[in-house]
Amino acid sequence: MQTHRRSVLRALAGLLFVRLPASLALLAPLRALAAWPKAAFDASSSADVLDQLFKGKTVQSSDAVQLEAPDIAENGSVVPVTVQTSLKGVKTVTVLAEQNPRVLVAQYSLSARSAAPVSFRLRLGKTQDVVAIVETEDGKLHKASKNVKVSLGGCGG
Amino acid sequence: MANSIRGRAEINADGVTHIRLLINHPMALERRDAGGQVIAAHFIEEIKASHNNEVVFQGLWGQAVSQNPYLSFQLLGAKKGDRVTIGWRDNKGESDNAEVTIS
Repeated sequence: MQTHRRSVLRALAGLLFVRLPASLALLAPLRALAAWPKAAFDASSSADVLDQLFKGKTVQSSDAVQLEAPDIAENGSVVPVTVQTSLKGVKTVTVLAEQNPRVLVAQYSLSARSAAPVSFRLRLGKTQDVVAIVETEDGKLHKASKNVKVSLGGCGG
Repeated sequence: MANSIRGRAEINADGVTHIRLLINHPMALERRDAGGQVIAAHFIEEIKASHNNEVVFQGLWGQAVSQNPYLSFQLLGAKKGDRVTIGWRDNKGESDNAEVTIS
């Protein structure tokens, strides 16, 4: 019994020893791999989202950020969006749909090993501005926006 | 949710790898049925890409990402034949991952 318990303990210690460095290695490059920010994703206004994600920071409109989206989306449930930027040291790319019931659509974290353009498809409930915010390593927030007219809403309405 | 991920990774002459992903997922919005009961949302919260055991890209998604999500971005410092691991996790705790070989 004694030996059995020890071997179990040793096995557990072994697991810890093996697992710890691996998980650290995974975490290292994207310094703090963000957890899913529930409060930000539940927020119903841009101000609330910005407060949750970038408290106290100001957002500047910037020509160095380009947001590509269609002028008119026939189907609001599939709107292709591309965020491109000439800025260096991009930390995060955040996309908001200002008139959706939940404003925050997506936040992407980049490392030194990844880069824009970032493209994906989103739902728009109605005609509205889509906003892209690029956060750089110096802590500054750079914004671009684009109005998208929606013929048929993407949120069941 | 096996094989929910279809991906392509192509490296260009400048050494930049263009990664394109298509994920099979309902990305269901929270809604109410005819009786007014809330039907819970079902959507991917997080998607990650790793190269050489290094997380190089992370996406956090809300319900407004379209059904069967498409995602593309650029990977730097990789080479032809390298493998990129893609993994996602949704709000019900389901997950999947797949490897994409750079061509």
